[in-house]
Parts: sequence; structure tokens; C-alpha cells
Amino acid sequence: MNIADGFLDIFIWFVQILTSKLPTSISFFTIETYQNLLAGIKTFLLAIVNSVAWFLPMSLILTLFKVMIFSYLSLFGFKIVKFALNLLRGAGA
Amino acid sequence: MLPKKLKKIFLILGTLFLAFFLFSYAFPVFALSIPFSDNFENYEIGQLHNQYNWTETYPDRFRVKQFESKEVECSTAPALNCEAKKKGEQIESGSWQLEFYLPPLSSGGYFQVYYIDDSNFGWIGWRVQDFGRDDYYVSCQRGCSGIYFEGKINTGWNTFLIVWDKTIKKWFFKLNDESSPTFDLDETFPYISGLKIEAFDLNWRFDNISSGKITGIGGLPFVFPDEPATDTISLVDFASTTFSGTLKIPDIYDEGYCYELNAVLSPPPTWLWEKQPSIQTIPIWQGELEANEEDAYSTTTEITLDYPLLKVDYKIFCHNTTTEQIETFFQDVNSWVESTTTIPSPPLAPYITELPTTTPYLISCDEYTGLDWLVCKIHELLVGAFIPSAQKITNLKQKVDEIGSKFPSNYINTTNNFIYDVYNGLSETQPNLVITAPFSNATSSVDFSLLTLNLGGSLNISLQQLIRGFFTILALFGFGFWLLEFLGSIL
Repeated sequence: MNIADGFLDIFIWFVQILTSKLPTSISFFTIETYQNLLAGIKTFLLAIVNSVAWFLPMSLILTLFKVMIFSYLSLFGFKIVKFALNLLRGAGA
Repeated sequence: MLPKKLKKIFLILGTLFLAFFLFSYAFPVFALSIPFSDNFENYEIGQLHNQYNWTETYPDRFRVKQFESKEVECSTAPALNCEAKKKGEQIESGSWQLEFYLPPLSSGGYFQVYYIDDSNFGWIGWRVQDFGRDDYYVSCQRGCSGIYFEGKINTGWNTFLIVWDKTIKKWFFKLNDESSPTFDLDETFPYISGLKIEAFDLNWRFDNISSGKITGIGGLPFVFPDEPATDTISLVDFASTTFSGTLKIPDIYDEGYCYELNAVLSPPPTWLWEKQPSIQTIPIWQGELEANEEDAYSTTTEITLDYPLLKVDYKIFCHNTTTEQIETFFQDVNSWVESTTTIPSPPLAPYITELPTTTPYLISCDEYTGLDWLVCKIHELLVGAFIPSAQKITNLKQKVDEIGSKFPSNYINTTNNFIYDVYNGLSETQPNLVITAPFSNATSSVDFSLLTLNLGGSLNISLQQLIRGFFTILALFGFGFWLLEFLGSIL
């Protein structure tokens, strides 16, 4: 008996159930509607951003945004771990 | 310490950045976890060859790789994006004559051309402010050194000349039309291009553009569409479909035999066809073939489809007598099959990639004796128990792929593509300031590239460099302040 195959069977069974239950699209907000909406938003956003990209270092700004976001998330993750550890050792939150 | 107001500003900015992250990163990260990797580097029981999926994390990046489309027929209703794609080899430059048929429009419109290279999907198109005038806007970004067109934009057929001086890998042509046009691509043309055409009016509707075509000049890629069609296209009947061809096992596969050949029929992707039926597998040959043996097959079967196109992959099952494993190999034929009842044979015999001579982590215990042999056997038992079979991996991949086309994965993928498009759509186009004098046709313009600042008689800095340098320093300063504040909040 291949144990890995057994685990995969269970997972595949779970995925099968999930696939059969999940709809392809939401009736009141279809995927096509969503795609068309995003296409409009995309063009609108690009028009705005590109209009200022000539004199603003957009790539640098986006990179700095990434660094900041990553920092905030790292800090957030660290605090969660710290919180969990405190709970585990009975020191309270 | 920083003043309280500054702290508040940083707090607001931080919140905004976090929101931005959740929107632009959390979704893609989740979506990224869905597609199954084809990289079986550490799993060498079998290799799957060119097994592409309809749904990828970045369809805009990869979708062209998946298809070699000869013909695409649009759905009847409602209107969907109608796309035709073709893959080929790269060329360095070329020119295209672009022709569009525009029905009478009451308002202006919008028109885009995309190029595609290996990694980027960027916008290099032009914007048409008003179809009724010669007013247009051309931009070029991300390394394209030249794109031009000539001609007026009017109702009826319009002709433009695009001179392309960019290494382009692929091209595809995209238009939408409720009247269901048919686009014929020249399948024999070996080159590539990277062209995407989207046309829609200012209300972001796709139904005002009737049809379009790209005509090659001097042996370059070309597309011949029909005249704007008005007839609806009925679904294709695949009843009594014949699969025929010859199956040949390469001599590289000398460790076993092959016993079954299946045709795997994939439906069009959701962005092309509104329904998303499941993948069908049809057995078309059974027997036993070893290396260098071949056998002709011809199987006629009835296929029930509710979509007009399908993609055929061939999947062969073989048995490796050395490892006692069942191995599956895919051959991606990469072709659409349309209104025909004869499925074309694979262009080549099913291609089997070179198999590894040994199964990873499994070693032969014959050379050991005594306790070493016992330990080796235990090792073999454990490894054998914990390495899944290729069949299961394939099965898992298929099931996981199916989830990709379901809610919410397809919505997440769409969001992910949107973010990717926005990020890669950034351009640094020079602003074009044109002032029209009142009560006359005279215009004045400012060319920003000519505005330079001379420092010390030897150093010339353009206006753009000057302004960008200023904002760069400003951004770095702001980031420095934020960094201090952030570090202060930690320590």
C-alpha cells in the first residue's frame, strides 16, 4: 500500500467534492461582467498613472511601496507569533 | 520623535499600503498556489511533456503559448471576446498592414495594440480620441523602438501601416463582435508577432467594432477575416468523429511497453466560451508496443460537446518494467479543432522525453547482505510508501486544474491578471501638449524633450531628468522618514 497515494486519494476526493459544489460563475455577477469591469478599470488606472509617470519615478515609488508593505506584514506576522507564544506559555496576550 | 500630525499621516499611509497589499498581493498569492507546477524535477518516475493548461496564473502572459489557433468562431450570444492566436518563431522587425472595419459610430472610441514578448505583456498601442477625426495618440513603451501607422480612421474599412522594430515572440488578434465574425489565420506562416488588438468604445463596450484584419506585407504575418458577418454560427457537430494516425514508440523508451492511447479533449477557456465543460478523455487505441514498434489506429466515436471548439492532447499510458510503474506521457498537439468531424492525427509520433534510468531515492539492495540489506529494505519500503505514483500526481493535477476554472479561483485569477496588466502597463510616455488657438486651426505645441538645463556649460539635463530627479529625492526622503518611524515603533 502506497501511503502517499492514499493521502492523495483523500485529497483528490476532497477536491472532487469541492469542484462539484463550486459554481463556475456567480449568477448576479458573472465572470464576463467582472472581466469587462476590470478591463475598464485597468484602462482608467493606466491612463491616470501613465499621465504622471513621465515626471514621477513610478517604478521607484512602487518598489518603496512593496518594501513598506512587506515590512508591515512582517511586523504583523511577528506580533501574531509573539501573541501565540504568550498564550501558549500562559503569560496572557 | 516625530510630531503627532506626521505620525498620523504615516499611520494613514501605512493603512493604505496595507489595503493595497491585501488587494494586490494577497489575492495573487492565493491564486498562485492553485496552478500545479509541471516541474517534476524531484519526481522522475515520468515526465509530462508540454502539458499546458487553459487556466494559468497569468493568462495574459501565457495564453498565447497554449494555443495555435487556426480559426476561432465567436459565440452567438451574448457577446464574448473573440480571439485568435498563433504561436511561432521570433523575428526582429517587420511591418503589418492593419485593416479595420468600423461601423458608423456616434461617439469616439478606444483602440489598443499590445505586444507580447517572453515575459511581458505591455501596452504599446494608440488611442483614438474620436473616430470621426484624425486625432490620435501613439505611445511606445518597454523597448519598442518604432510603431507607426498611417491613414485616417473612418467608418468602413480603415488601413494602417504598422512598422515594428522590436523582437516579438508571438502575436494574437482580439476583437469582439456580436455578429460572430470568423477570423482565418494562415496556419502555414512560420513567423510570429506580438500583437493584440482590443477595440471598444468609450463606454467600454465591445460591440461597436464589427471586424478587423491584419494583412502581411512582404511575407509577414497576415490574417484574412471574412467581411463582417451577420449570420450566426451554430455549434459544431462532432458526431462520428474519427481519430486516425500512427503510434510509434521511440527507441528511447526501452524499459517497458505502451498499452493505451487516449485523446484528451479540452474545451475553450472561459474567456473565450461562456461555458466551462469538463475535460473529456476518449480511448482511441489499445494494444502493446515496445520501443521502435508502431501501430496504426483509426477509431470512430461520437463526441457530445456543447462548445464549438476543442483542443486535443494525446495521452499515452506505458508500463515501465524496470520500476513497475505506470507512466503517462502527454503530447500537446497545440491545435484547435473546429468544424470538422475528422480529428487530425498527431503531427509526430507521441513524443516521450528521456526517462531517468533510476528512480530517485530508490537504491538496489542486491549488493548488501545481513543487517545492511535489512536496513536497505526498510529504506526501500519507506521510500516506496511515501512516493506517490505518477498516475496519482496526474490525477491530482487534473483535479486541481478543474478548480482553477471554478469560483472563486477564476475571479481571483482575473483579479491577478488585472493587477499584472496594470503593473506592466506603466509607461513613461512623454506628454504631448498641444494648444489649439480659438477660432482658427492653428496649433502650438511643446516638445518637452527639447527643454534642457545647462549646468556649467558642459552638463545638459533634460526637463524630464530634472523633474524625475527631484521627485526621486523626495520619494527617498519620505521613505527615510517612514523608515525611522517604523523602526521607532519596533524598538
